[in-house]
Amino acid sequence: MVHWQRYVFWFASPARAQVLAQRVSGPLMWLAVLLLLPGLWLGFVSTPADGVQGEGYRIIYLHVPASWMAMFSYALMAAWHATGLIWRTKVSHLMAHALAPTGAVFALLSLVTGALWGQPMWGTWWVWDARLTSSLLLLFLYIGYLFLLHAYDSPTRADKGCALLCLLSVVNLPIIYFSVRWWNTLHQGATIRPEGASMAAPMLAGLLLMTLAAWAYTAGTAMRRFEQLLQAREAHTQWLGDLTNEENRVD
Amino acid sequence: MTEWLTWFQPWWPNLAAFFAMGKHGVYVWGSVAACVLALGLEQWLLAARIRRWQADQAVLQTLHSQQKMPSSLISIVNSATKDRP
Repeated sequence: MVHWQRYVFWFASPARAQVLAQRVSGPLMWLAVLLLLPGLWLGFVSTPADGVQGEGYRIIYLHVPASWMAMFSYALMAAWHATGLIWRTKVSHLMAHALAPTGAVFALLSLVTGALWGQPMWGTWWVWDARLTSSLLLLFLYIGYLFLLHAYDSPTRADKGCALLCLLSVVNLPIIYFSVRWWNTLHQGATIRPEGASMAAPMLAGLLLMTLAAWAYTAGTAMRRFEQLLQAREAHTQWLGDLTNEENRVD
Repeated sequence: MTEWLTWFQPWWPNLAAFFAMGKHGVYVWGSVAACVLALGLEQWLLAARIRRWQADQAVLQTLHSQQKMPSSLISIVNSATKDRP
């Protein structure tokens, strides 16, 4: 009965988690570059202009990956916090803390690139429709999360407090996603649906490559940050090991 | 078969058209610049945080090896300052 549990919780040990993070963060960043280059080529160099929007549509290759990663990161944070609360694994909370800044950056970029796209196409930088408002709310949630993280003196309280905020506010994600279906919004509807995509093949390929590059970037950066958070939190325990080895004469 | 080849050929007749992006050059290149700036800044800040933490740990290590600071005190310093960048 113990066997499968041992493997499921293999990386719940801080030492193993740190080694994993160290090993994967570099390759993930390289993967991001490898995916970014053909994505940029397809998106900005080789695909033709859009029939309606002209060349300005190319912002899609930045805006959509940023938006998707902002939402996906928040969902991942909620999953990691839920894991940490249910199984009381400390490193799960740290993984969520590591994802937050990158998710926040992508949420901001989603709004900025969206505004730069909206001005030439809609004639306005901003409109308080359902999609944009809920996306702005996502950015505020990220900022609130980051402030909350640094507000606590005790790290375990920080873990619990941020977990509470994240899990209660994750309801915003389906609101963002379905807003274009539930409400009458200026923002266009979904182009990519489970039934298929109404996009030409090279454009879709470019979009998917950019999205995967954004994912690899998020994963690599989060792993680097996770490694650093882990070291900072475990530093006092590493030094304790020396006490038994060398020098009581120093104390 | 020939359709695949178009994926490798540039759509732009010349570099000037590429930078102009129709009439939307400001918006498209502005978006690119925003992404490069934001993500570059994030990487730089993360690297700076890691460097700062490693420098602090190096100072503690030096003090310890010169026997000016016991392990127990280093543990206390680290546990008091954990999560403080």
